[in-house]
Amino acid sequence: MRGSVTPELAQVMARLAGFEFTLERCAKIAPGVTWLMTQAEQLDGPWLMGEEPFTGWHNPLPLSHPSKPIS
Amino acid sequence: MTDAELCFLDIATLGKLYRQRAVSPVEATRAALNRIHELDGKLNAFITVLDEPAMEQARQAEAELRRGEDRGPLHGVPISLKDLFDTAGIRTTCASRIRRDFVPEQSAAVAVRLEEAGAVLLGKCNLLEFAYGIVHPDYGQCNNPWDVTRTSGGSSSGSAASVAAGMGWASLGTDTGGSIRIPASYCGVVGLKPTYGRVSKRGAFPLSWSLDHVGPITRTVEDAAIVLQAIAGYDPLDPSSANEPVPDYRAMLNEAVSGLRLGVLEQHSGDDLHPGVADVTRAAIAELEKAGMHVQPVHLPSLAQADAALLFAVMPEATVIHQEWLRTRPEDYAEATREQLEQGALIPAVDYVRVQQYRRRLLNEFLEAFREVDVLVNPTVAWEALAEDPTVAAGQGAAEARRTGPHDLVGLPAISVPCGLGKDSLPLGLQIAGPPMSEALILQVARAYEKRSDWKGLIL
Repeated sequence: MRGSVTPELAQVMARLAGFEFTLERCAKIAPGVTWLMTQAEQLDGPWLMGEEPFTGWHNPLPLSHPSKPIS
Repeated sequence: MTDAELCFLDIATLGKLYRQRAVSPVEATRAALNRIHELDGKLNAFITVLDEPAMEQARQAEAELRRGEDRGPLHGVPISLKDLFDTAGIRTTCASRIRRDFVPEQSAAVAVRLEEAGAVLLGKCNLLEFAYGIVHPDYGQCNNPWDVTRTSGGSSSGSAASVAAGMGWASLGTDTGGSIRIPASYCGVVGLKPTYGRVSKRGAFPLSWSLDHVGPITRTVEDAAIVLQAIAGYDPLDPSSANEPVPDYRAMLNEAVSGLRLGVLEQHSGDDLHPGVADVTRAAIAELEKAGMHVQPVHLPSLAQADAALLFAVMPEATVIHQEWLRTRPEDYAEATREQLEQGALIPAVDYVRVQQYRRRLLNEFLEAFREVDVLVNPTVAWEALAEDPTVAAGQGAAEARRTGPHDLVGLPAISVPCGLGKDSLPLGLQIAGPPMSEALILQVARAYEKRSDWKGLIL
């Protein structure tokens, strides 16, 4: 569980990404970011380990590519 | 022939009448402009209407055709563009306050191709602000021609509404999570998202570099093939363009589909469908089965994460694209657009990278499925047109793009074709998707369905 994003935390996260958002703005967006973080949990964990990043349909890796995890 | 009858002809028939001198490009353009001025007060499909320039283009097309200088099936055909395609000397707003007065010096690659094909540009169509899920109050919602209290769908709303209402024979849209196919479904028209790289994006304002696609919105499948033929092909000035040969998209259009294998995506046939959608979809699939296609279920193990993956791909890319305006002119965005852009700044880099890994996994699952079936089908959207467009970063926005977004994530082609009416008597779409560069195949299957369906479209 990533937990909820408070306005203060949102402001720090924005600053780390190079944006200066007021606390008032962060209060508006924090609930949405909390929801987004719950969605991001679907991609957490080891299930994608070993998968090469996508670079386009024209460059699919064969299903037996050695970078895929050995099950 | 009345103006309404003229405006709802298909492109091939219109072209035949041009060449028989039974109808002229000037007459067709005038009829389309008249419809825009008659109907657009209620629909709000156009941001810019090019009355005199369109008439001048039509007069030129008419003169060329009379001289025997035939540029092909789009010659003299009135069309429109989503107002995020650059048009030299013509305002290109992206339905935003930020670009309200922006006049490009050069046209988008697809605008040039359509001009070279002799198409007549009627105007620039309304959209959600920067194609990002929200109506800007300066422009207002594009209302659905089937029910003006509902949206035409995002983000290529004006393109779909204008074509559905007979205000032009075709339009170009862009599709990042479903923005061609969703409004096509809501408005009862055909929307084609080609393979990533098939059609140049140069000069189209980006929403998300890795997900954006350009494609046609038309009233018939053959019209979509005609427009795709004109815009498809390699563009060395677009880094994402695919250097692949362009087939004749109409050559196979009326070939039999018997023996082809039709996969039904199990996960997209389920619980979230609104009443009536499953029945209409089943009936459409049954028609393709009667045409001789072999139907079988398909399950993609990783599809469940596609809603989240789409958000975490689009949002950071959109924020980076808009970062300068987000710093200097944040108040000029619609409030919800601004919120989405601000939220995108907070997406962790590791989530963005995980999405790229996920996209690889999903692509391989799609390609594995396409060893077993030739095309995949499912409802385009789980419901009929909504009252207004949901925001991207919310449950309903993600759910709206649930069936269209996966094909953007993996860059594979998909078409939405009208397949009936839902419980509120509004259109529903059937989505047909295929492997890379299979536009001719999905057009063929869509045409096979279209021929068997009793779809009449909208006559206003």
